[in-house]
Amino acid sequence: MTINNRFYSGRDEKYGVTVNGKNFILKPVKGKWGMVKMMSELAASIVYKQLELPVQNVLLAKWNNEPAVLIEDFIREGQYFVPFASLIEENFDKSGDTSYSYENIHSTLLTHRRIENGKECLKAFWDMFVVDYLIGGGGRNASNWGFIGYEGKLSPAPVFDSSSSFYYKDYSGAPFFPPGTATPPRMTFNGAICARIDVIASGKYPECTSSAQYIRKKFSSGQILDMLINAGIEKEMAADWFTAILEYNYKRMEKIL
Amino acid sequence: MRFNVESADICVLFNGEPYPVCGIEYYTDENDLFYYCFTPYYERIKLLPSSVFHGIQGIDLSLEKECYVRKNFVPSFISERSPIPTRTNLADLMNDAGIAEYNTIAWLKHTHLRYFGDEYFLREKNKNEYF
Repeated sequence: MTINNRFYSGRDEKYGVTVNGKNFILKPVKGKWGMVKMMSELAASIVYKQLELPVQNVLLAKWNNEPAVLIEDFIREGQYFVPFASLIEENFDKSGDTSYSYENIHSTLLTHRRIENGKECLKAFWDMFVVDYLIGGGGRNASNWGFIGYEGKLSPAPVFDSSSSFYYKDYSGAPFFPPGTATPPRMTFNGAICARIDVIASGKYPECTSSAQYIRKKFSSGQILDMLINAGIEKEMAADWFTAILEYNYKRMEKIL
Repeated sequence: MRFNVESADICVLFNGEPYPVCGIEYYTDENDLFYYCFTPYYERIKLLPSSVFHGIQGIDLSLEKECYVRKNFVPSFISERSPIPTRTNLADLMNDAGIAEYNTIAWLKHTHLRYFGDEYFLREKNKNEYF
């Protein structure tokens, strides 16, 4: 593993590294919640994989004999990254509407001239939104999701940066005790911040309901538990924390669909 | 009101050489007010193939404005490729670039790091080579 010269934004310390010719982001475990954030990032990627949704590969690693996480860089030769935030910012010089609302997200994804398939992007957005609900995801700001550009056209990037999930600040080593301190999404619903479960329950967005229904059918707590353990997460943490949270949130969602 | 200004050129690599595509100025004052101004070099951009130039994050170049101003918010082009003030290893990143005071444009001009998401980079303006 060698450090390269790639820069990745965000609050956490991270480095670009190259392993066997592939680029990765290396995040050393730091601070009070470093270990649980690292495990949460890995667990979140496994949930997406079990649901067969595109996500960054996450691996546990060591850096200077300390725990770290390796996250695969999804940009390949000739491609570039475009965060959703930059598409909204383009509106600043036109309509002036740079609000991070579901309405603005829909209209941007469906009408932006460089987006190749707006419906595909909308589906990717709502899949991410519903999984973020299941995993107790963080706010998901407009820079934390986006697109891969290639030859002038944009398509959805795999989901990335899910480390602030699974109510990591609540983790003390004891089993999960519902409901957990959920972070509301940064997007606005009817002008206000609103819990993800309430957005799903509203039925206002058919694409959201479709994503929730797909995930309801596909979700398997048992498979996820096996995958977490195989990936190196201790059985107790996997069962008492990660899958306990998923099952609790899943059951709440099941009731409203 | 007095503003400090830090300026640079946004460049791409074209035929192996740095090729300026847009000017950028960052104005700050003593009350922490700031703004960024992007001035695209449309005539130069027209000469580039789409494999080299694919727009500037956050800027709708089809409007063909002379200047795109971002007042008191950090444009995504900058926030994507420079450290935020709360970055945990900010001091190391500043030291490595030889920057004493936090300034995104100065950092981008001096760092050896390159944004993962595209091939663009910043460097000092060189007015002799524009046209």
